[in-house]
Amino acid sequence: MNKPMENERLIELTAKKLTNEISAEDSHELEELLKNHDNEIIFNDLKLKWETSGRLQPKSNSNVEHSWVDFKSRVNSPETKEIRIVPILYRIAAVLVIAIGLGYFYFKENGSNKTEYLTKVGEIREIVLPDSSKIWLNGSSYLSYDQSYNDAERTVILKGEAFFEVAKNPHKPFIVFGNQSRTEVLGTSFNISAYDSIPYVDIDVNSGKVAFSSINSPEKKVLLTKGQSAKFDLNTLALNAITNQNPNYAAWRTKRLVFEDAEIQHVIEDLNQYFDIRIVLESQNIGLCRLTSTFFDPSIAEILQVLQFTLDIEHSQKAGEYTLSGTGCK
Amino acid sequence: MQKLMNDIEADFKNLYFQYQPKAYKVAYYILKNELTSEDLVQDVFVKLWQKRESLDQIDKLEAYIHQMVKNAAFSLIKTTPHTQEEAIELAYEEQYTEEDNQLRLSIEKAVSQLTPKCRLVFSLSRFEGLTNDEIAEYLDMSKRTVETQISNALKMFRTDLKYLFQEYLVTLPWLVPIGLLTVI
Repeated sequence: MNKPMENERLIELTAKKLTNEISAEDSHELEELLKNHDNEIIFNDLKLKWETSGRLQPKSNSNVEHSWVDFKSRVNSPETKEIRIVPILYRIAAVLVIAIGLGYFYFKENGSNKTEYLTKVGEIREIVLPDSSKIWLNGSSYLSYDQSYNDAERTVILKGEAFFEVAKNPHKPFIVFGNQSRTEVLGTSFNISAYDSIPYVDIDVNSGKVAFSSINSPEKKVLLTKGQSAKFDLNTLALNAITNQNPNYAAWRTKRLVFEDAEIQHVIEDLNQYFDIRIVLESQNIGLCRLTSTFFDPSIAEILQVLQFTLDIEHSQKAGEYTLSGTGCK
Repeated sequence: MQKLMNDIEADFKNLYFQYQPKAYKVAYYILKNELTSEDLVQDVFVKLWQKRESLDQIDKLEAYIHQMVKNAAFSLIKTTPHTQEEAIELAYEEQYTEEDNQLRLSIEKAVSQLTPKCRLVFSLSRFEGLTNDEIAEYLDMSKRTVETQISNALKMFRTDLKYLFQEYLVTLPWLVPIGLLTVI
């Protein structure tokens, strides 16, 4: 058996040998030590692990192109902030008016020291968390956090849809659990849609960086930056990043619908979601027409009128279903 | 004047693309958390950006950046000792066998258990292929310190083996009475 001291020396010499930093004298000493069979086993084991680790690389989701986009938005924000202040205030005011107008919200603190919020259909509620992070909770949604929020980390549970503006704190990650998905950030803004009734979770990043994964395998995450989105399919458990973000992902909050050369077949998807209605096309050719327009806090009648004037698309309504008809486009 | 500003910005973009990936790795080897590392490196580059007009006065800019990253990462660990650490995940760059995979797991485990400083030195040596001299210059430490950290890392790989052996020794005494019982 080797004395511990001898073992220590063996590892020291092995380290020198493996990094090619060994002197002739030390090399001789190592050779002597390796005449002992136990030492030889140790040496060979370490050598194998050393060589194998040289063939390995840490898995990384980091990408310099994405980081650069995030970096630019960080250094540019002080200049753009001033210009943006007014519209953001308007938007917040608009959301507040809606929330107060609808008047109904559910808020309780129960025995488990949990704070819970539940919104009705069509209601939008603005929530300010203890660390001054802000959340806009969309209709038919639920959000909760417990008393330990902001201790070591900031954890909230979401059912439904919400837009998050997270206060920056690199010491305390902000984590959202929503319908089998896990989203981790340090300070950024993003939208999550995780309704129980829909078999997938959508995330759209508005600024900063976000790590998105399933609850069960947080190590298999995608890192998303400004302008990127991802979809987590709850049936197949597939997690896919999407680079071309739908500009209307947060329309429920901003009340602004933007269409830029968008095909009508995609426009009606956004409209169905925004107004919670059902629009069908009489012929597929109508779906190929393209619309460029921006609406602020529109009514469905207003949009249908625009379609009629600009694209000659007629509409009719029957039993809560809208039908679009016309010659369409090719 | 505007032309000059644009030049400085273009230069900074080059600098970012050249140094950010390595700086990120330095942070990641210390912190073992991708998001925290990204954020910390961004902060360092924001600081560099703020003095972008005087950067050419710094010699050894790369070492300077790594110093900033290293210091920020270690002070982050000090103030929040248990930031969201993840296990380091390693992958082969080429084809591998099932036996390789077992080795990979034991290396992953050992690397994850190293102290942050030791993991940083070991990773730069093995995953980034730097020599001890390069690491010493890179991290502004003595070559002796680098050697000690490499030895410490190997000790962790060694402990792993010893641990398995001890486990075997613990189970052995139980086999004796069971063996006797079967004989009876």
